[in-house]
Amino acid sequence: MRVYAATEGVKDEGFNPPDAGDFNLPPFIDGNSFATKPILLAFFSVLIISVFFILAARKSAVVPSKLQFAGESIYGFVRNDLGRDVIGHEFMRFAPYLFTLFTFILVNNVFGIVPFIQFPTMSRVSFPYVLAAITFFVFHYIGVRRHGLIAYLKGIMFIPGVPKPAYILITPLELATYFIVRPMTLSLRLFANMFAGHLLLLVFILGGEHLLQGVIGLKLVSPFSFVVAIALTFFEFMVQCLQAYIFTLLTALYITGALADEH
Amino acid sequence: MSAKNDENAFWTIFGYMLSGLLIWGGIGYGLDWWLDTDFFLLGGLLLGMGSALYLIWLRFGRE
Amino acid sequence: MEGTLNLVGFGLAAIGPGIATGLIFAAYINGVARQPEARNVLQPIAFLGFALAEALALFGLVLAFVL
Repeated sequence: MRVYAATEGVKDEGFNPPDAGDFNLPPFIDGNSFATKPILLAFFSVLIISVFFILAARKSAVVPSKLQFAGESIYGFVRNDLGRDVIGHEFMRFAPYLFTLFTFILVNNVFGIVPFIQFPTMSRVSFPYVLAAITFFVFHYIGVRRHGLIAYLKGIMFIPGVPKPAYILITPLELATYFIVRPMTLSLRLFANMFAGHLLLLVFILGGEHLLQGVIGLKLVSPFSFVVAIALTFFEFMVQCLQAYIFTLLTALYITGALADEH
Repeated sequence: MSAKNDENAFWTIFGYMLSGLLIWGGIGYGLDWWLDTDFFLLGGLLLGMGSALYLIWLRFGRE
Repeated sequence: MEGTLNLVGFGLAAIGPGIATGLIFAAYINGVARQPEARNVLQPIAFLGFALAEALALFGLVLAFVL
C-alpha cells in the first residue's frame, strides 16, 4: 500500500531533507566518471595507510618511539585479537590480509567524520561489495585447497547426525548461507551502517542550518540540533570502528570455518 | 574467544533464518506466480523458517 | 512525501522482537556474570531464544516487502 502526501513544489522552497541523492557526487572532471570523491578518497586512504606504517616501521627499535608504538599496537591488535585468538596456529598466513582489510575499512570509515572530507567511502555500495567478494573468494579458496572441492562442498551441504529426509530442507539453506547470504550480509552491513550514519549527520547539520535561517524562535532551537550532531559524530566514530572490527572478525571466522576439519 | 564465538553464532543464526526465508519463500513465491495461487508463499515462508530453526537447533542447541 | 505504509508497520512490529532480544541477552549476560561456568549450559538456550524472537522480526521484514 503506497501513501502520497501533497508536497509538490516544496522541493524549491523550504527544507530539502537529505536523501540518497546526496551520496551521488558528480565527478571533478567532466566526462571522467572515475574522478569522483569516493574513488579519490579510497586512493588517499591507501596513501595515508602506507605512509603511516612505513614511517612507523622504518626505524624499529627495542625502545619504540611514539609512532612505532602506535603502528605496532594497531598491528598487534589485529594480529593477536583477530588473527591468533580466532584462527589458531595458522594465523600468520592471514595476518597480512586481515590487517590490510581492517586498516583500509577503518580509515575509509573514519573519513566520514574528518572535517573537510566528511564522506565515508564505504557508503557507496560498490566498495563493500568488492571487499566482501575478496573475502568470499579467500575463504572458499582456502577451504577448497584444504579439503579438496568435493569434500569441501560435502562438508558444507551435509552436517552429520541428521535423518536423511531432513537434508532436503537443510541443504539448500546451507548452500544459500555460504554462497549468497554470507557475502551479502557482510557487504550490506558495512554499507548500511555507513550510509545511515552519514545520512543521520546530514539531517541534523542541514536541519540546524535551516533552522538558523528561520524566525527568532527557530533560531533559538537550532543550537540543539548542532549539539545532537556533535554527539552523533562521536557515536558515529564508535560505529565506524566497530564496523571495521566486525568485518575483519567475520572474515577471520569464515576463514576459521573453512579451515576446520569437522566441518 | 568465547565472546567472538557468540558474535559468530549471532550472525550465523541471522544468516540461516534469512536464507531460509529467501530460499523456501522464493520457491513458494515462484509457485504462486506459476500456478496462480496464493498459499504457497505463506507455506514456503513457514517451511523456510521452520527448517532454519531446525538447522539452528542442530548447530547450537544439541550439545 | 511518498512511501509505503508497510514499512511503518514493520517498524512497529520490530519493537517487540527488539525488546525480546534485549531481555534474552540481558538474562544471558546476568547468568554468565553470576556463574561463568554456566556459560555452556546457557549459550544454546540463549541462542535458541534469540532465534525464536528474531524469527518474528524477519517474518515482518519479508512480509513488509511481499504483501
